[in-house]
Amino acid sequence: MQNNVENFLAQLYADPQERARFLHDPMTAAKAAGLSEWECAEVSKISPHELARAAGSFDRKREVKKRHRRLSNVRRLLRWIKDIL
Amino acid sequence: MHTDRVGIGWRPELAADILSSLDQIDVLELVASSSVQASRRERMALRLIARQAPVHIHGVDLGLAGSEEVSGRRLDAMARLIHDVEPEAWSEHLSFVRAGGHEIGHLAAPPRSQASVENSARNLRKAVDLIGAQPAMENIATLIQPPCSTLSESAWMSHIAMTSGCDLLLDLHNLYANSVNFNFDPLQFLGELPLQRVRTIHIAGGRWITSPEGHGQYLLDDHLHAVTGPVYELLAEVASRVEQPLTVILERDGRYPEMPLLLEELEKARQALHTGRQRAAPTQPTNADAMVLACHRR
Repeated sequence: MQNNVENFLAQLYADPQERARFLHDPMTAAKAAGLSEWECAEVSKISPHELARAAGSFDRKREVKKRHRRLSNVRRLLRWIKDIL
Repeated sequence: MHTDRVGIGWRPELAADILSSLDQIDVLELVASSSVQASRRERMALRLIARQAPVHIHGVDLGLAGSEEVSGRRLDAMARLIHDVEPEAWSEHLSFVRAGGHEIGHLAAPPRSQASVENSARNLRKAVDLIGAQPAMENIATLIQPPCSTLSESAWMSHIAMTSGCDLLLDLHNLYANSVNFNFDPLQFLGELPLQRVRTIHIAGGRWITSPEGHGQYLLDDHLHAVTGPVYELLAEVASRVEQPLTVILERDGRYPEMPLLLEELEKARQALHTGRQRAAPTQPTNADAMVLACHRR
């Protein structure tokens, strides 16, 4: 199922603990996620180096977004204060 | 006579320089995520900008190629932005950005399969229903080969274009980065795409990263560096292979140089388009072109 694979990949990209579990034992992690036999075999072929690069890049993007969100909340608050004064 | 256009992504940091250089900029692209939360006054400002130059709106977080149904709330926000700004066109990415409750934080490549072709078509239909216009869909840069893929990237893109009827936004730096990182020929990739569906092109720069694990170098599509020669060469190549007018957008997301240097990059893009048009031979439809044409005749 496509959505099972995407859920599994999203978890690998966003959750360092799940990623470590997968890298330690890909087949067991994939089976635990409910992937079919073929999907388990396919995700087991993921290159650990590619996964590390991609996950590192996603981690940085999430961090930047978090910072932007904080800034935009501050901006919105300032706008609100300005409007009521 | 081609009427190719060259423009740049609108960034608040570049606003004053862009507005004072509009005589050298044909089109602007607004990133939707930074605009959907804009206040009414900011939206009015964006609308005024859209009256000064043609504007495209570029979405980054709808996840239209994902298996999860695209959120109606996100589409409504995009629809409101499009209604307020009145852009000439809008675009999104061939990616998923969330699944199973996990926000990935950026554009991720889904498994390239018939299932994701159908998911993309379903999400695109919903987007068109709510927004009233079809987005152009952009190829992404990826640092990982999506597992469980049964189609090549070019075949996958062609199938999505055929099934949904959408245009393609071709990001040449994404293509170049993927080709060097995964060792394939970008020219062959171009030959496998329905290029007559490409009306908009992104160009950008990146940087080479030495892999910390000692596995050589890879090219990161960071939008923080100048466009390099191979990307201009690919641009000339696309211009030589198509007849329709092309709109080229320079994407730059930080470490901004002085405006004259960015304008120089736009000029190089114009020259690459000109070179490609000069080089153009009578066009032979590719296999992918023929498939799309046959699909439309039906």
